[in-house]
Amino acid sequence: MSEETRNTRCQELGEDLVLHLYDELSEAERTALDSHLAVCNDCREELRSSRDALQTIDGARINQMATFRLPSWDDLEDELAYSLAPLPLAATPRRFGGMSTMAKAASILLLAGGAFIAGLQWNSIAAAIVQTASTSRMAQPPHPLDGTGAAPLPAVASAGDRMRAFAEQTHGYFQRSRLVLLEFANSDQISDGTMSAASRNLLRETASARRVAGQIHDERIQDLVVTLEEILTRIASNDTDAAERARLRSDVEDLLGRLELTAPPERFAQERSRT
Amino acid sequence: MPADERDVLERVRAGDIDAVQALFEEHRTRIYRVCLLYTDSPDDAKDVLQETFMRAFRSVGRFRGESSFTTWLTRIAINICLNLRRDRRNLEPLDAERVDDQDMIDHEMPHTPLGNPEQALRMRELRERIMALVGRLPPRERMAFVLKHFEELKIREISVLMKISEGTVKSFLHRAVVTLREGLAGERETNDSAPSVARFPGRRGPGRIS
Repeated sequence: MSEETRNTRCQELGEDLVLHLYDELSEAERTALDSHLAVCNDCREELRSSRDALQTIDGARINQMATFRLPSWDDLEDELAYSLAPLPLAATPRRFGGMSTMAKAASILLLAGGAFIAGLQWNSIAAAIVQTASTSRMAQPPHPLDGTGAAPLPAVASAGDRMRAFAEQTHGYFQRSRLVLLEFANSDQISDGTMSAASRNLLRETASARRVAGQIHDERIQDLVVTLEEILTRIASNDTDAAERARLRSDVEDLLGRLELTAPPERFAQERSRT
Repeated sequence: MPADERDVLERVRAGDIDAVQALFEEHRTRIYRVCLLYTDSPDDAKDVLQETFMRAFRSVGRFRGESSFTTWLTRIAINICLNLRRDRRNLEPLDAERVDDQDMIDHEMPHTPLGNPEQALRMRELRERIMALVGRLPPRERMAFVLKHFEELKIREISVLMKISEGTVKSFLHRAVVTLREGLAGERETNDSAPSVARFPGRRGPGRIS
């Protein structure tokens, strides 16, 4: 074999040396490599040094550290549970896309009041929420929470427990509010009157939501309840001043962000905006 | 997709936190391991783990079962890892936030069958050097190497996870091994006390490094 042929062959088989070490060659490839190794000192030497290097790496037992400080559910639950709380509506903000404006307006009012409208083609996610709403007051929506005391929570309740308890005891108050906020942020078509009526409906539940939040002892939930109440009040007031409407829209978007995802790591913000 | 997995995903889509926790418990170790080996930083790995699950839960409605859920989830984590480095490389040296020495000692001592603290120290130094070399590999090469060498995945599996051809995976691996080999050889020349393979024979499964 000429020197030149050998060098070309060495280049061809360079990757196969590594694959050989990982036992990823087919029988035919291995046979071809073996016959080349039998006549090529350079490749034998390269194989040996690569094998040494990988064995050195194995010897450092790096896999042992691979679960070093493995986060538990408790470590991440705050972020994950809070980000999930409004999940049912987070996935597809424009869920009303196929409906007429009147249907949107009607369903928002009904949802805000905690009632259920039959015959709409909700997907399974939205259905869960509507179902929750339907259990409150079909005929008489006004105060779904009146008279219901907060069920006792475990002494040490996790963020998820607290979110769950709040959602259950308020019949999805955040989720239903979020629907109104989403429509406010997204839509220019629904009349202001519809949005303010929906907000007024929700505001009737505010006192109860505050009471439940107080019993649950969760500052983040309490803070969200207070902020939401303020925003709903502003939507309900139907202020036509352009500057106030711009501020309100911006505040609604902020609140939606908090309901959707509380405090994402800053370093991901840039990337998230790209995706 | 297995029926029970479909059931869990359906519950996640409906906002069931218990189902979310079940999925998290099932996948967190594997995802975290890849992230930690790739970033060599527990803080980064935790962030990526969290971001992976957040994204997965937010977009689980779009998961149609064309790949397995595991593949889908791992792809999310891999993409975050690759983009994370791209974003951060300009901001800080790659060596920043590496696994803290004392933490490592505290962590590894109970699991290390080396009674001799001096040996444990050498082992840790070796590990740091290796992870520093791995950390200097280009992102995709590094990810391919982590998935191959530490996760022991097949070339075909890596190609599916990274959405690149098997030929590209092979090239990445080859380049990574050459770089690591040369890096280790260079350090051995300048540091005679570097532990050799003979001193620390590694755990190797059958057919691992043949």
